[in-house]
Amino acid sequence: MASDEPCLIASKSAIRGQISGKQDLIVEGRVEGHISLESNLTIEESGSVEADMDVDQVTVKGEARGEVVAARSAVLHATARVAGNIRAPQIIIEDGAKFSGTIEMEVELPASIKAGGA
Amino acid sequence: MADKETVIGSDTRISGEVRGEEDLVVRGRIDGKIQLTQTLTVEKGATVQADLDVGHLVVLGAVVGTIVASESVKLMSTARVVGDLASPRLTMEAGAAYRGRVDMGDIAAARAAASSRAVQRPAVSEKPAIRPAPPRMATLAKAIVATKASAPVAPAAARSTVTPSASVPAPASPPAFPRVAGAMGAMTPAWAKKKIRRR
Amino acid sequence: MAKEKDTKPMANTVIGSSIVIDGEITAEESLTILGTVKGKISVAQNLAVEAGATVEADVEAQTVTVNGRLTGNVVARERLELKPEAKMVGDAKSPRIVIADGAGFKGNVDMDV
Repeated sequence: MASDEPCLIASKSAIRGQISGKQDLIVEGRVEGHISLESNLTIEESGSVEADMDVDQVTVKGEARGEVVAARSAVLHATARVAGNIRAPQIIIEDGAKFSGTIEMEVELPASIKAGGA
Repeated sequence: MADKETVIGSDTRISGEVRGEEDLVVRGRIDGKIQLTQTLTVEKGATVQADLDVGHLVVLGAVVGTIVASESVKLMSTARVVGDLASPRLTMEAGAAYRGRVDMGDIAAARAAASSRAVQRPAVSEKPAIRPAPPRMATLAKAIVATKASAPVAPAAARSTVTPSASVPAPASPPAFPRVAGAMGAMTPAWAKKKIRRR
Repeated sequence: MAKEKDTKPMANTVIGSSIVIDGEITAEESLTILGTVKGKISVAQNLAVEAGATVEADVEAQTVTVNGRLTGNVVARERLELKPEAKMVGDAKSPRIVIADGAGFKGNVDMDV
């Protein structure tokens, strides 16, 4: 788990490349590339991430684009603008959030519905 | 029963097509197709296996089918939903389970695609066959084809036009990298390119 | 919007006046129709076709009360009642049949005598 201080990409900063680690990451600036965390990723309102994200939890208040895989949960706040595919056991979307893409979750349908879906 | 709102009771099952210009609450089961200008509420324990074209949709139960909502979709914590979804507003509570493609942009195109697909399907007979949900990618492709059937596709120009500014304005403050076509192109899924090109 | 608390007490089906259903309805409870239903209706308890409603369907229910327009064959296991505003075209089969003054009816009556 994240034991250290969270890592902050400030609003005037931009990083391109691969970010991986065990610390929480807060993005107020811009990240392009790949983010792989065993902890939480927070994209603030000013933040913009264009990356494949493989994290424990992701919270989006700004802009995100890419493949998102969250081991625990993905939260799209009302200000979020997200394009991409999200896979997570729990996904929360607030009213006002904009999302375009696919959502992949385990859906346990009642037995009366014949197994549909992909 | 004073206000006579439309309720499909928990021990009622409808197979076929339901149309209307009022709110509809489903506690039982509907298989087929629902077209409603107002709010469709699928209660906990209810099952709807149908293509939906509604104003608002509130789901606490199970829904399988293509969803077009001209106003909003709310997936409450007990919702179990499989199918492509088009709506300008979508909220999802913790606990809600959903699988499918979400389009919060062009509802008219999504509706056109959904209805053209409905026309292709044979009319609802006495016993509508239980229909597996349509493949998701195919549905989107269809929606895009439907809107942009006549527009020339320019694959070469596509990569350079992949900027987030089209649908999601990038914040002004962080410096942007010059776009390297190869790197960003490879990273942006094919559908996203299409999507942006469309706008 | 989510009216979870009154789910059980009113476990009946009501088809509102703007609703059009094309297909089959099976209800293990009572069914009230104010709108339009075409197809087939099977109800375990009471079926009420209210004034203003249009039903074009073969109907089977415990009791059937018609005050609207019904076209189709009706089997009421207990009782069929056509109220003053009813217009029914079709065959009626029920041990007890009431046709009120003012009701219109065209079809055969089978009271199983």
